[in-house]
Amino acid sequence: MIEISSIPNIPPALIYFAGAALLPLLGKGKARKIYLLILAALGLIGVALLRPQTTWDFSVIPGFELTFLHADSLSLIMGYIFALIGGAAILYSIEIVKENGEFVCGLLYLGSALGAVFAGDFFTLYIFWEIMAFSSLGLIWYSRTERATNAGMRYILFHLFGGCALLGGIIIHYINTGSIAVGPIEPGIGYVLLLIGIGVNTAFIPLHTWLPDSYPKATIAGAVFMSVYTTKTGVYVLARTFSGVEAVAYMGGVMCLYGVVFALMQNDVRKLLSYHIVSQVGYMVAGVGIGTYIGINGGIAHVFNHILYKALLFMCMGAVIYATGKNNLTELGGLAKKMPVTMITCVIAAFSISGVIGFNGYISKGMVIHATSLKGMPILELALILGSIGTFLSFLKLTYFTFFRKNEEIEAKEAPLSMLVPMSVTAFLCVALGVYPKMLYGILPYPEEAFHYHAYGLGHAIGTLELLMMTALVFFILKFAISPHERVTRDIDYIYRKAGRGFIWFCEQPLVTVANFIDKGLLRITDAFVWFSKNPTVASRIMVLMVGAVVTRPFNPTYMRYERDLEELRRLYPGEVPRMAIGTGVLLALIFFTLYLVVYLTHGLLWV
Amino acid sequence: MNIETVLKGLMVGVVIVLVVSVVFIKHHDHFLGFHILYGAIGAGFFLLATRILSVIQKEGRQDD
Repeated sequence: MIEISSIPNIPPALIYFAGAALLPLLGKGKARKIYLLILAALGLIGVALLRPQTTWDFSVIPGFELTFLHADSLSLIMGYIFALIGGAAILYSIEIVKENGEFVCGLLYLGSALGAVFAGDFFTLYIFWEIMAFSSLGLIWYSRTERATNAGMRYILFHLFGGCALLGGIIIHYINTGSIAVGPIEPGIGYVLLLIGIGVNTAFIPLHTWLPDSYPKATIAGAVFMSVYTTKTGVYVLARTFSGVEAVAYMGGVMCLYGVVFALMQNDVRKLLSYHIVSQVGYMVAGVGIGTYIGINGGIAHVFNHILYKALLFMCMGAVIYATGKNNLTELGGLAKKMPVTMITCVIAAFSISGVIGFNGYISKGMVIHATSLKGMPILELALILGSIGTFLSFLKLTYFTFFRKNEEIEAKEAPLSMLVPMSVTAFLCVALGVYPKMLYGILPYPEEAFHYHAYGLGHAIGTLELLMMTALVFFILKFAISPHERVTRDIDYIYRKAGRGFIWFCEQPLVTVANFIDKGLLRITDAFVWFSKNPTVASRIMVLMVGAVVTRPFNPTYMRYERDLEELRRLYPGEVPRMAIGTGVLLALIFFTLYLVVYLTHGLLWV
Repeated sequence: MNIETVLKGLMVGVVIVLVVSVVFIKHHDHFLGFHILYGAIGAGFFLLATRILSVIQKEGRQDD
């Protein structure tokens, strides 16, 4: 019998990176499918076998070690959910992804996200952080549309900016403390830079615009991967470095409301879901920012639950787009009977994200709101409760206009089995964790405190029920008011794009004009030096005569002849240049060099 | 009545709703059926907010 403790801890990133490297050798047939399933299982086993409190160090130079594996309760829970949903996403993609390159990007993305959460030091984290950005870019560009290409460019620009800020913060933190271990940061410029760098990935307002811009343009499978890793890795790093910072908690409240309001105005189903990522990440950021045991437990539990239902929602909408070729709510409807499994799983995911009793979102969202109440932050509590109402409104809109509104013209058939299986399994987990939350409590960072939280307390349950029922009633009475429209919604990126265009104009027009002016001036000066150096004696004479001609012109009646002589001298310039023997030249050079040395040494001695 | 006046009115409405909500949330134990009331206020808040923000929308298909 194999002893589990005898199996060495391997950084899970290596499993997926090796898998990505070997994938192109397998072609596109059945072998690839089997290989991917084995890889998904291996990744999951690799994470499941990791033992807590273990590390895997790599010495770069003496005294400077990179920690590629640091397993504790926080990194392990992230690892479990990343590997679990990674497996589901691989299975979901197996029939619909045709190109190996897209799978390679997906595997590198998954591997690097795991690398980032198990990184024990900031430099290792930074390396995986950047691999994540570039590999996920591939998932956008594999859509092979102009919109995707442009969105991908904006996406990577944002992430490079965030990466630079992160690296700057890491270097300053290292200079100040001499430590690169991932942990709390001392206030200063490094603190701000790190917060900006992490804020880009976590989609802080107003650094969030890359998210709703790029996710709807990714491939169907790519969007499922993308909905899981980038923002949640950001939340994880935030929990390690900025937990208990009140400003961060309030940022969570802002994200929660901002995301919901913009989601309500969307027509594109995946754009609506993307704005809800911003909103839901707000709950996690709030939990982490509160910083108490229940706050951090709630934030991380929400990461876990959110990954399940958000990936499921992207899977469902991907299945709808795959089956109909349509992605706008105005074009959808009438799919409930045509895609029943997709409809049921989507409703489960919608109930989960809305925090309906009995579904997993209810547990973690309740924990975060309870944490705000205990901490005495009523405005944040208000924002988070309002966010719940908006979320439910938004998902009533999504499910109603996608599945239940009458639409006789739409043609579709149910998604393939390879898509339905991961959708059903994920939906089952959403319900299972809602009904029996103790499964989740046991793996949270502070399990003992988690078991003290009573999710199904009578007051909380009835209150939530009242809140959601009233919201549903308002929706069905006033649904015309939030019915989808063919409209373009401008976000803050409108300002960025305007500013960007202004910057490009500034570079192309005024800046280039000034550069040309300086260029011409420098050329003239250089030409004058070249002209002078051809025969300095005659050149000096010409210059003196020119000055004399200008000065004496008004008083000299023979200035015409004088200027003719000057013109003649110019014409003959440079004339016969006196030549020196090479030895004279060397002698002059030596004299100059000696003089230089004398000055240097004297200066140095005097200075001392 | 021009759009600016309407928007100003709506903004004042939102602020009042938020202030009342903060008071409610601090003292909700004293209100019977608080969450029903709050659900209505919340849903109204979002309908209002989307109406206000529809000003920044423009006609056409969602694109770049």
